[in-house]
Amino acid sequence: MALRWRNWIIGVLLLLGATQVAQGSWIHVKALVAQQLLQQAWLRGQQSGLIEKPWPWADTHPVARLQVPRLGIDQIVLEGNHGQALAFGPGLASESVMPGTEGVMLISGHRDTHFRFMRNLRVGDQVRVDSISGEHLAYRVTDTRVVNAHDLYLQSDNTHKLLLATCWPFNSAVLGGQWRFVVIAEPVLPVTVARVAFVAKRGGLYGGY
Amino acid sequence: MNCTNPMRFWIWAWALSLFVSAHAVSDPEVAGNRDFSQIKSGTLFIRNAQQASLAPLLNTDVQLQVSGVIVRAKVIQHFQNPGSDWVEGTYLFPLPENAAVDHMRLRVGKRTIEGVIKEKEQAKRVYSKAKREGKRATLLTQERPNMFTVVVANIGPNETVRVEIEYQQPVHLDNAEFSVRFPMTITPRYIPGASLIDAAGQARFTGPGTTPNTDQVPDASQITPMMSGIGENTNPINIEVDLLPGFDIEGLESLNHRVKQQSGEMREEHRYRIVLDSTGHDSDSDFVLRWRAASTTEPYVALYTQEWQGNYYSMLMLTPQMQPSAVSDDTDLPRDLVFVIDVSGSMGGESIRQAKQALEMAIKRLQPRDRFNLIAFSSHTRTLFHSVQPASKAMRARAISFVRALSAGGGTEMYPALDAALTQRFAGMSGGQLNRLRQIVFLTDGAVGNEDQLFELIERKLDNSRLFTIGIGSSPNSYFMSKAADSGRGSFTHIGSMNIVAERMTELFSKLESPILTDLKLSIPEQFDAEFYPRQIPDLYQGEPVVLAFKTKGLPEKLQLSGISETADFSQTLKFEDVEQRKGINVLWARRKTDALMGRYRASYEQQQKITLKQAVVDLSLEHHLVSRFTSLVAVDKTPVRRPSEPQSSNALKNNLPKGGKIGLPQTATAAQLSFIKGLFVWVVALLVYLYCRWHGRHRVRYGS
Repeated sequence: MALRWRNWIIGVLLLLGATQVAQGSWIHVKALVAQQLLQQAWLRGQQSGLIEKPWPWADTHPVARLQVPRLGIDQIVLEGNHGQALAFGPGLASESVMPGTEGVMLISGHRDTHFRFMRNLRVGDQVRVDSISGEHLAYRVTDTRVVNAHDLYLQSDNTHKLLLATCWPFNSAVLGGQWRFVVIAEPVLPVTVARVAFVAKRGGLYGGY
Repeated sequence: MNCTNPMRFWIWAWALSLFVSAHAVSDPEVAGNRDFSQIKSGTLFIRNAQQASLAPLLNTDVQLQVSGVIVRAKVIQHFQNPGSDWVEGTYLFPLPENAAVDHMRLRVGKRTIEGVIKEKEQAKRVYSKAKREGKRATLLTQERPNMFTVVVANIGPNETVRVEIEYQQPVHLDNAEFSVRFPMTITPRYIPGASLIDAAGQARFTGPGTTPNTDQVPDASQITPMMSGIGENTNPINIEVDLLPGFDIEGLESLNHRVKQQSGEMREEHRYRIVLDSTGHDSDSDFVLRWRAASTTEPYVALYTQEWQGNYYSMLMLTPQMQPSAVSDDTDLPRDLVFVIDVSGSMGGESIRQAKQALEMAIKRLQPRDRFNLIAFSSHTRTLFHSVQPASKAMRARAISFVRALSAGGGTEMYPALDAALTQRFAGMSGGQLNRLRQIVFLTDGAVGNEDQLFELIERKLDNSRLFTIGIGSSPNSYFMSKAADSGRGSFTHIGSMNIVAERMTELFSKLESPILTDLKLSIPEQFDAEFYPRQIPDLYQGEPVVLAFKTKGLPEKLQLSGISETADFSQTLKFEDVEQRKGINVLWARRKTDALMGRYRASYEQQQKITLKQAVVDLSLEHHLVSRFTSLVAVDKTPVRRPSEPQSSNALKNNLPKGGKIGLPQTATAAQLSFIKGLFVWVVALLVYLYCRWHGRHRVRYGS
C-alpha cells in the first residue's frame, strides 16, 4: 500500500515538473528557432526589396538587424513590441521611428532570451542597426538607466537616438514588474556607413573614375 | 509520520516551496557583471537639451463669469523670475476654440498697462523694440483659434509680472445640457511633412518649439511646446466660476476635476460659486462644468442685444421645438456608416480605451439594414472591408474583434484616412440605393498640426455625407474637431473620461438616428440690413441649438426662424420685447464673422483674393479689438527698466503632460525562468518524497512498529 502511494505521487510530480521544464524550454527554443527563420526572411527581404514574412501565418515581419560586435550579438528586429512579436525577436516600438529616419528608435526584447545580453552592455559599446532598405547605422552607448515602464515619454523632435529596453531586475523570475533597464545609444557617424562602404567599393572597382 | 498520508505530505511540500521560491525568485542584484552604480533611477525624457538658464515660473488664475449663456473669462498668468538675471518668457497656452480674446493687461506691482490691438507684424515690431529698449512689454498672438502665445519681456530678477487676458464665449448647449470648458494643457500635436531647410542647411525654427517647421505645417515650431515631466505640475491652475444661469438648475457637476461649491454667502438666488479643489489636481486635463435646467419641458431660448457704435449686435441661442410627429420610427432611412478611429501614439493609454469602448458600443447599435465599414489609422490607414458591408451579426462580430485588437502607436497621418472615409466608402453602390443617410463617425484626439489642410479636404469631398467627430482624451484639440464637424455638417461630441462614454455615445446615436431640421433660415425685415453669422445655419440634429450672432441697423420688432424637417415644416417667431442688454456681443459677432472670413481665406487659391480677405479680417479685428490670426495685442510700459548692458535670456515655458497620454514600455519578461524554477522545484520535491519514504521504510523495518 505504502509503496503504491509513493510511486504514484512521485510519478505525478515528475510529470508535473517535466511539463513546467518543457514549457520553459519551449520559450527558449521558439526564440532560437524563430531567429533562424527570421535571418532567412531578412536575407530574402534584402534581395527582393519586399517585406518578407518569416512564416506564412506570422503577424509581424523583420524591420531591422541589430548587432553588438563586442558581444557577438546578431538579431533580427520585428515590427511592433507586443507579446506575439517579442516571443520571436526584439521588437521595434510602433510609436518610434523606422531605422534610418530621424528621431528616437525604441527596441525592446525579453530579458531572459534575446536581450539577455543587455546586462553586459557598457557605455562606449558599439551597436549597429541595419535598416530594411540596406542602410547601416552605427551607434555608441552613451548612458544606461532604470526607469518606470509607464514613465517613458518620447517627444517627437529631431534628436536621433536608439533606445534598447528590457525588464529589470535581470534575474528576477517575477513577471509584470514595473522597472525597465534602458540603454541609450547615439549615432556615431553623421554619414551612414553604407554610403562610405559603397564609395570605397566603387573606388576599388572602377579606380580612376 | 507516514508517507502514506497524502494530507501531511502536501503541507510539507507547501512549506518547502515557500523556502525554495523565496531564494530563487528574489535577489536581482546577484546577476551580471555590470556596475550598478552606473544606473540612474528616475524618469527618462528624450528631447532637445536646451534651456539651461532658469525659466520663469508660472501659475494661472482663471475667473469664469457665466451669466445666462455668455461666459466672460479672465485668465491671469503670474510669471515669476526666480533667478538673478533678466528674462523673457514665452508661453504657448490653450483657450476654448470659440473664445473671442479682446483684452490684455500687463501688471507690474501697482502699474497697469492696457494692451492695444495691432496688425500682427506691427505688434511684433512694437514688442521687439520695447524689448530692446529694456521696457516691460507683453505680446499676445494667436497660433490657432485655440492656441495662443504670450511673450513677456524684461522680467527683472526675483520679480513677478502679471498678464491678464480676457475673452468672451457662448456657453455650450447640447441636448438641454449647458457646459463651459477651460483647457489646461495641450496634447502634443503630430506634425506631418518634411522638415523645411533654411539657407544655411539647418532645419527651420521660427518659434521655441521642439519640432522644425515642415512643408505641411509651416509653423510647427510655434505649436510644439516643451512638455513637463511625468507628475510635474509646472503650471498650477486655479479656477473660480461665478455661475448665474438665470433659471433653476440641477445636476451641476465638474467632469474631470474635484470642485468645491460655495453658495452660502451669495444673496442672490440661483447664483453659484464653484472653486477648483487645488489639492492634488495636476492641471493636466480640460476643466468641464455642466448643468441642466431643472424644468426641461420648455426649450431654452436666449436672446441678447447690445447697441454699439450706432449698430445693434444680437446673439440668439435656441433649441427648436420639433413636432412630436417628426420623431417617429417609420421615417428612419437606412444608413451607411463609416467609423474612423485614430490609433496613433498620442491616443495611447486611457484615450484608446475610451475610443475602443465607444466604437464597440456604436457597432453593437447598428441595425441589419444599415451598412458600415471601419477605418483605423496611425502612420498608415487600414480598412476593415473593401467597401461598406451590411451590418449583419457576423459582420458586426468581425468588426468588434478588429476593434478589440487595435492598439495605439505611430504617427497621425489623418489626411489619407479621412480621404478614404470620404471617397471610397460607397464603391459598388448602384444608383437605386442612393437614398441612404451617409454618416462618418470619426474618433480622435485631433492632435494634428495640419488642421487647415484637413478642413479643405472635408469641404471639397463631403458631398452628401455628414461628418461626426468624437473628441477623445483629457485635452483633445477641440478646435479641430468642432470645425471639422462644422465643415462636415455634422456635430462634435466630447468624451473626456471613461465613465461618460456610454452616456455620450447614446446621445450621439439618438442624434444620428433621428430626423434632421434642414434649410434653416432667419428672416429679419430688409430695412434692418441684417448681417448674421454663420451665414448658412447648419442642419440641426435633435437636441441641438441654433446659435446665431447678427448685426442690424436699429432693432427689429421680431424675427422668424424657419426650417424643414422630414415630416413637417418648422417655424418659430421671436419678439424683441425687453431683450436683455449685454456688453461684448459685438465681439462675439466679430469672432463669428472672422471664422467665416477665415473659411473663405483657406478655400481661396487666388493671391489677390487672399490679400483682400486678410485685410477684411484685420479691419474687423481692429474695429472690435479682437485677437485673430492677423492681429495681436501688445502692451508696452513707458519707462525702461533694464539697462542695455544687462543681458536678458529667453525661455520657453513648459506645458503639463496631458493625463493618460504616456507611452509605456512593453512587458519583456518571459515565463521561462518561472517555469524552470517551478519544474525543478517539483522534481526536487519528488526526490525528497522518494528519499523520505525510503528512509522511513528502512526505519520501520529496522525497529519494527
